[in-house]
Amino acid sequence: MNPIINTHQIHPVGDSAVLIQLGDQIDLEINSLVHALAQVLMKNAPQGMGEAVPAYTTVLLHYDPLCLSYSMVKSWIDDCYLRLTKNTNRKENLIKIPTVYGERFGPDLEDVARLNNLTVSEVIRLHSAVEYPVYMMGFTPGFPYLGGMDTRLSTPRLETPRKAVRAGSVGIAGSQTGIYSITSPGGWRIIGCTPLVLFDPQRETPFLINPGDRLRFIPISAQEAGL
Amino acid sequence: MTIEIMETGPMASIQDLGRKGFERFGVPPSGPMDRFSFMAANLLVGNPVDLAELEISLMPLRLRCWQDGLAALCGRGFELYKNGIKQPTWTAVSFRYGDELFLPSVSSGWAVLAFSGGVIVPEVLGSKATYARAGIGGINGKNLQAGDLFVTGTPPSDSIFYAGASLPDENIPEYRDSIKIGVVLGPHLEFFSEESISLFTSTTYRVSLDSDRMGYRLTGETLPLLKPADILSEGLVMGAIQVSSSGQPMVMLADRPATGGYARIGTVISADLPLLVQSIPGETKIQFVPVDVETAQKKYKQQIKTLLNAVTIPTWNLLTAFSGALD
Repeated sequence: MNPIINTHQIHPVGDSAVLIQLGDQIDLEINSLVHALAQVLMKNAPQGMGEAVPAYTTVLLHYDPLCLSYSMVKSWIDDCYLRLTKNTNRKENLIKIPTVYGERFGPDLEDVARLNNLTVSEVIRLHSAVEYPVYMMGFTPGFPYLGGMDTRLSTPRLETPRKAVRAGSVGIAGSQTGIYSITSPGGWRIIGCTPLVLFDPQRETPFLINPGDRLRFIPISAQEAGL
Repeated sequence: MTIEIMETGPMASIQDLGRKGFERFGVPPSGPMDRFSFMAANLLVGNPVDLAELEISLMPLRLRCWQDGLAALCGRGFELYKNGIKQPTWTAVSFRYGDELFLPSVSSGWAVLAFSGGVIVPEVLGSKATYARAGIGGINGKNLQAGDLFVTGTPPSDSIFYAGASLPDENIPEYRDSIKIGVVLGPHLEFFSEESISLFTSTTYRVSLDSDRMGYRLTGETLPLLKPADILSEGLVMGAIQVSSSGQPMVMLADRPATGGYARIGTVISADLPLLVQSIPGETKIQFVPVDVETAQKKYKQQIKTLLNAVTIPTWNLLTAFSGALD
């Protein structure tokens, strides 16, 4: 049995949700457990059980207090733990994100290079060299919180956030990298842009990315992107 | 067979009980600010509790009805006029083809206007609720605008009996100057000293003026934290009380983001959220009272059960129905 599983804590969140805490720091193994648990919690759930929202180290589980009591929800969570111990492997769904780096698509690319004493092409190489786990989603619909960025690329946010950052923009904020899923205000340093649409409510699959996936950025030219 | 928006302000939108099941993708549920008024308005016009309605705040709303039907206005502050004549609120009002409904502006408060059959707009991710920040729901993803047209659904077959249906006075919320609001403490109590928690539950707070559908900032004692308020982002519920590093609490409401990154001292209980939402910014004194989960759930169940049985249909409607059957 995985020892991490014994460290879980359940806290009530108001009268219609509980928070299940599996750890307190960003860790891929803990996060894999979070996603596995969130899936088990939603499978064959009793009536009145709501969505399980996975995050870095927690799962928020909604429920309808008109159907279920807090103690019933706690025992459902315990049941789910027992089923969880067998298979907590992260599903390896890799999504390629073609990205046009620099120029008008990445107005902050040169600053990111300069602030880190790198060349522009080194920034692009480092940023596109690794697979990024999607720890969770939030902020705006379809926005992935990614881990695993090379620390040499860490750059502080813009002092003055932009009023509008176009959807698809790839940015860096501190030690994180991410993709704007909708056009919104934002202070991340924008190094590129992908032509992929992360959130389209009219599409059969509205979300390009699922929590728990892995992403890889693939450098392409503006012509290839059709941007 | 439509209803036309003649005049509206920026804070009017179409809402249903919310977009469920996409928070893990970062989509907030939205839905009405005051769920009690929302459910009451639907019940008054003979609808199930969850059909889409109009939600308004502050600015006036003027409608032209190109159809017959029933409407009910519930919530705080607003008045309803039909062709210039004042109508009762918390009551199903019938309207005919060509009638004008008008709700003058108010200085605070949220109201909902339900129509028999419900407001019909295309569903986005299973819901009609407007979330303007992401451009989804409602009419073209936007809050209501003058010139908008929408249809209403087929009313339930017994809807005709609901003309004049009302909620007895004892079931209509009383909006007092000073209110007690139940909270379940947690989940991040390790960020707060005992003194801080006691400040939170023993002093009074007011809603600040820069509050909206996303959340209400609270003015009052700041709550000292034992460590920086940043937590790893996690799921967020309606009524969650976040405290930023400055110690200022904020209650997260209908258009909150699906996830949040600040420590939370407590969560407002479901039964008391409608009352909190209807606080007058800068005026209503709010005292937070800790309650346990079981007590909170009991209170909510009782509130919903009472509401579901509260709508009173005028006796003469039923008598007319019987005499009609005898003809």
